[in-house]
Amino acid sequence: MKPTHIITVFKVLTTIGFYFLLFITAAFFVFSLINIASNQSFNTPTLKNNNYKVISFSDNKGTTEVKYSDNKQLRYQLLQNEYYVQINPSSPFGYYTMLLTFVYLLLGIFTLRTFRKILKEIQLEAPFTGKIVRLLKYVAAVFIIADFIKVINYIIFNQYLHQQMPTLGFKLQSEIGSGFIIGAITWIIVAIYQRGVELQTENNLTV
Amino acid sequence: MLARRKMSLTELSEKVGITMSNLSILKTGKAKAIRLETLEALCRVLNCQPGDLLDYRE
Repeated sequence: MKPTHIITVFKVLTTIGFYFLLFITAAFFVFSLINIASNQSFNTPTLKNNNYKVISFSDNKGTTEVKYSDNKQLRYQLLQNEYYVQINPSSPFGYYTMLLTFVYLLLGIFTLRTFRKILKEIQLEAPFTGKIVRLLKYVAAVFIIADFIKVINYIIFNQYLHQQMPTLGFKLQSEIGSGFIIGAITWIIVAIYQRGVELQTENNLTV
Repeated sequence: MLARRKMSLTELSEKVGITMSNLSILKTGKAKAIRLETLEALCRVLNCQPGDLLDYRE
């Protein structure tokens, strides 16, 4: 597959992803407004945005017995200290979770929009441009910011869970770190790319 | 150098074999580097030495 074809495929994919995410964000916004306007508790359509998986650290039940598949190639265990927590969408914390989801969706839209711009800007004859460096910096920053928000949310959420149900010792299940790693890797790529821009400029100005 | 030889930039670019935009880069001092073959061609066409075309400034 030629590089131009790969770029075209990525262009199509990011465009589809971008408009799909725009649609999801618009739908989420409408559902959120319905939630706020109707002021009902757990019965309004919410796109399941306020369902969260948590682990109880004070639950003594722990795990049940281990079971095996028929051919003994697989074993499984039912975890009893995992819970789904649903936040009342018409409560202040419900509004907070809505806002947070909205922020994540906006960050996603921004990232896809930036990717589209990068793919539009790429020219295989002269691949290194200052504009792409700037756009890649935005992407790196978004990944780091998204993970930073995740860390803040983890702290706030656990604080809230502790306030609501102190005896169960709920902790939010959240994967933190991938955004920081991707952001850091992107930043390294930006530094290398920047050197590429300098070399290309030097090459262009060599007569 | 060009005035002394009564040569235009277009004529020079044709004889040396470099584009007008590259010649402009050279003339305005924006060039980061010059290939030895370009310098050689310039010296041949202008009938001069590299030192006549290059000078060091701080």
